[in-house]
Amino acid sequence: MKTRSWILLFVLLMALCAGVLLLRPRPQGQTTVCIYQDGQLLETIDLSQVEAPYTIPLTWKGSTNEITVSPGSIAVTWADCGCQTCVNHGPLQPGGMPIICLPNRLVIKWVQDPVVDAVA
Amino acid sequence: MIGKLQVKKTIFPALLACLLLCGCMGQVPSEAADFFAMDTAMTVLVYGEDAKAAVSETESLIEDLDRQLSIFNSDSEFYQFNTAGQVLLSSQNKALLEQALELARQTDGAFDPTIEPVVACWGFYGEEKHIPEEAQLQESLSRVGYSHLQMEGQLLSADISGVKLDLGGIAKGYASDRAVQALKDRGVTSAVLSLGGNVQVLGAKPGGKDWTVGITDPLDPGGQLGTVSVRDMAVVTSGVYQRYFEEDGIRYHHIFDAETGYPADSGLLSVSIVCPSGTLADGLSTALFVMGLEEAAQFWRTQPGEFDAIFVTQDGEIYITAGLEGVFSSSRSYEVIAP
Amino acid sequence: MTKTRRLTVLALLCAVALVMFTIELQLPSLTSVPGIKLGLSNIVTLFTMYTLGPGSALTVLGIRVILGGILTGQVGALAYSLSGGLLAYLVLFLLCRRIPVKQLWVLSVLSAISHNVGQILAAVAISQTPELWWYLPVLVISGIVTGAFTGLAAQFLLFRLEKTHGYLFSKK
Repeated sequence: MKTRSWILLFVLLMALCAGVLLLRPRPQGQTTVCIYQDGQLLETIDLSQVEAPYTIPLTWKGSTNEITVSPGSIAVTWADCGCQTCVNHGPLQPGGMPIICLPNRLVIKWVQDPVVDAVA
Repeated sequence: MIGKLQVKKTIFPALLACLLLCGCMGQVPSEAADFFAMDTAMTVLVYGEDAKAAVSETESLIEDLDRQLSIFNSDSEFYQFNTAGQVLLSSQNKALLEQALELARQTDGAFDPTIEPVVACWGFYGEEKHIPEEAQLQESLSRVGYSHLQMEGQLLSADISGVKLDLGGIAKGYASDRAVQALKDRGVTSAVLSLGGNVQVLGAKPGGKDWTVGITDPLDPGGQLGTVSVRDMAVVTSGVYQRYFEEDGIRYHHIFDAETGYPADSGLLSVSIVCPSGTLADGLSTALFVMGLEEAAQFWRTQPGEFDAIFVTQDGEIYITAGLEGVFSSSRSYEVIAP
Repeated sequence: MTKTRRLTVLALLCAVALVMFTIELQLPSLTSVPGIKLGLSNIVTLFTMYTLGPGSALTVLGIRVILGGILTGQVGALAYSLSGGLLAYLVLFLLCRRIPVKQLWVLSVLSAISHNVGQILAAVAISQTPELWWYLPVLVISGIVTGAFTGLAAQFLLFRLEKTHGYLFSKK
């Protein structure tokens, strides 16, 4: 193939790539969370797919937590444990600690935190 | 013209290339486990060929250590010391205790493993946390002090009665050290352990990048104030938001001052330690919190290269020790403590 | 060319490739995208390909990747380098007889693109995140540019040496 043809080919290829770069949809940040109770995975939720807020009541050994899932957000909104750490935690944040209710062995965390690998 | 030899010479490298390429694809599996131990939620994430087995062994190891160190488990030597006043320590437990005592000496008691009577007095071991009666607190305080402990060979005793141990201040750090060592012995080169707020990483991420560890913001415990990029390090935070109760609008947290018997009021909200040893990081995070910013900075200067720290004051100001420059990053402003 | 001479030349070429590799690491990274580099040591690979043949080129490439990784403490990145390097080599190997030396730069571009594809392939496989394929357009552009650069460099090198030292490299 003539050199000229090659040059044309590569220039077109670069233009194509540039086009893709400029027009591509922003790659989705990780928005999936998972809910564990006593080490068992209960549910995985993609927060970006949530249309309307809803609540999940979880009872374990007589104790209850109420989780509220909204578009893009998840939080424990009620708990009957004494510490209330889980409620005070607020919504799960990227790069923040998982929501934990120790007495009820509840853990809510990102499947893959978009910001950090662990939180200390 | 392509002779037979020529073909052989060209086919072989091609095949080799394909084989090697296949070997590169789809490997480095990983396995994670979430479980509860040492009264907190734990996550172990291991990368490598044998990740599943490694993770399950790590979980067992940590649960064993929990039984070994817990002062509520009757099989634990430390429980036995607390009830009987003396015990014959296994060599592992003795080594750990000696590490704890060394830390107590170096920090002049800011970290003190004999703090148990005070913690019990405030009700932090159960669900009934409360402000104790002054007389009771003083009585408990009289039994606190690492210098009361006596070690003769494997026999641990105390020079007064009622001295009690609680290694909870370094238990998680010790567990992560042991776990990481066990993983290394297994040939694992990449793993991250998150034991409550104690993080320890083995090696770097697959691909060679440093691990990114977030530092919890004590004023917004759901979020973080910055991150550190590390490999082969432990990152441990002690903060007022971890265990506490509130009465009359005042927060009483779980990091006690062995001199006063009260939650340490040193002007800090949290201290995060970054250093290769989990045990040290755990103990120091408590000690430096009790010391307060000035004394802690001085202490850091006397131990160049041993560890680094991040402090958050009650005003929300962030200070980091010089060794973390380039390692710590944050969207907030912070001051660097010079050596 | 005698075996000893060949061995010596290969060793020298490996050394040159390693040095170029090491030096290149010292240069500040152009962008935040991982994997974008000049690939200067590929000049050596290309050169070897057209003077000593595909087998020797593979040797030089393999040694450069492995030793380079070990010597510069980038063993963790070895999987990516190997994956990229081998894919790049495969392309070189398959096309080197079809493409005349005059168009060496073309071969270099194709090989550079393959190298980057190989790296992303390894990255996706290792970290299990297909999202990484989004890096492809950037790496293709980079591959074209750097491939052309190193290819032209190798080309000029070969022409020059042919003119002045044609007797050093007898036909294979």
